Amino acid sequence: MGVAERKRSIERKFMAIVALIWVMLSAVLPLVNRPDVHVFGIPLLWFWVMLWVFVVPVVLSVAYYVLEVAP
Amino acid sequence: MEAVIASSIILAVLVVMFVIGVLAYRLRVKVLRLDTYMVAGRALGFLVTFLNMAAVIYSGFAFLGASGWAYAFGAPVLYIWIYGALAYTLAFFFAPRIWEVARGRGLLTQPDFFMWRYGSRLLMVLTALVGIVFNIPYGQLQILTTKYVLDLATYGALPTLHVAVLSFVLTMVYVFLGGMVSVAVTNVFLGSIMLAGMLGGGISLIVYHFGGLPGLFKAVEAVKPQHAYLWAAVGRNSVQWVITAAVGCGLGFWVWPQLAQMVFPARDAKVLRRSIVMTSWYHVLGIIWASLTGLVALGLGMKLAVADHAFLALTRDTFGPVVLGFIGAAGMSAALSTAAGIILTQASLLSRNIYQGWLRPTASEREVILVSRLGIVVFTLISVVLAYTAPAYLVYLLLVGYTGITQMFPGWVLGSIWRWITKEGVLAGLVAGLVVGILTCFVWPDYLGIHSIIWGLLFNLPITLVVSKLTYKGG
Repeated sequence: MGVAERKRSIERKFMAIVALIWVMLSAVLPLVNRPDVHVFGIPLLWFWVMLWVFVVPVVLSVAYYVLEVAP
Repeated sequence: MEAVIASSIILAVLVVMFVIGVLAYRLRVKVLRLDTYMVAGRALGFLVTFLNMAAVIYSGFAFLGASGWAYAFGAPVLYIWIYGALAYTLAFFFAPRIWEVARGRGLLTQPDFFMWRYGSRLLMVLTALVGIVFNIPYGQLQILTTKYVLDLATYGALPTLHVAVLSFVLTMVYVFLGGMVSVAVTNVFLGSIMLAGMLGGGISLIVYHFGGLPGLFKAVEAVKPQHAYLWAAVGRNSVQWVITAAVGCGLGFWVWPQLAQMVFPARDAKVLRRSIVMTSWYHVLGIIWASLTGLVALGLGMKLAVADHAFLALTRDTFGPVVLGFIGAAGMSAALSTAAGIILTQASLLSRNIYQGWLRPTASEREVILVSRLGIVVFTLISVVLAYTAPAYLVYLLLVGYTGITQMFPGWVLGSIWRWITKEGVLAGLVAGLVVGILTCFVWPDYLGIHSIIWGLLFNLPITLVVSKLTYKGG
């Protein structure tokens, strides 16, 4: 395996691991399931999921800037 | 009088939609090539790619089903929020890669990828058939969704099923003429209306009735406290169902062939990536607020015979006919924009992969475009006939649709990343995933509270990986 190919292989493995972690994090969101806890008057489960789904486009926007605009 | 106002607004949007679609063909399509017809010549800029994608993704379900779920079930609606966020994150990294492969090799459809990647005509035809068949109920559903929107938005003043069918047929006229160019340009208009409807309508209703989210949830918990959390050990209201539905739908999201066909028309990978980022914002600004209107209806103590009517019934009772007309037009736009993408994709799969790819490999581009256009007519007729006759068994196709489509995930996504995924592995995994998915959809529905998509993948993925490892010959 050449240097470039090895680098691509490592990049793919890294992306696969990151993707797996992201899927796992998304999956555990509903575990925050406490009907007795509220944040700013919003049930914890709803607040936590809402926060997560708002964070995602922010993170993607930053990632887009880093990958496509900044270089 | 209210009916006249609301109906006029909806019909005006319908007319504008049709005019834009036809004009897009007349003005933008100079030479009709196959890649122009199916993927707009891979020339779409950011705004068109973004709104086209968003308009096809968010169907009538965004205006009816999402709020209906929140009204009827409460917290389980969160699976929609989660799977969208998951899907856009995966697409940010995976879709540009697929786009580059498609552009470099002249791929026009998702099954083209399977043919190129695995050299398997069987896989190509199988994925084309899966894409066509599982989309049939979705096409029909958009007509019925339009009908339901019209039922509420026109105060019953119009023969709504006939008007819904007419609006569907008008949509298919411009799809027939201009293909993806007409679909994409029209979806800029429709996608904008949809977003305005979901965001504006959703937030307005929440603020008008409850002043904000804290007031909304206080009212909801006073009526149905169990809507605030996941309370069941098994079933839809359980934690494991929401987790598995969210992950399963998130993985299967971009496996639908019509979404592949919304990726290919982007002008370059940077445009595509930017469009995906903006569509993730569209998700947050649109579907979340639309779904919360179901909770508004519940918090107000509305008694709805059909939960899916929550958003529109609430708008009618709160704001009157003008706003109802606009929200109704937005709901209709959502249904018709998705239908346009679905029918074009089905026709593309039929002509490119079944006709040219299998039955008549020497077919010319002109012939393939002709078969595509015939396919649009055929699939439109099928959807219309089914909308009038509405056979019950179509519901089964709908239920198993996501489960079935997602079983192509290993071949489509993993196969684009790892060279050692083989056609034998993909085929073996696909068959196993489909069998288990269907069993856990109908025979043992969501066994142990785990969504059938995940049951299918639990068998599909290991089999795909193991068989691929055993059959990979290197190179």
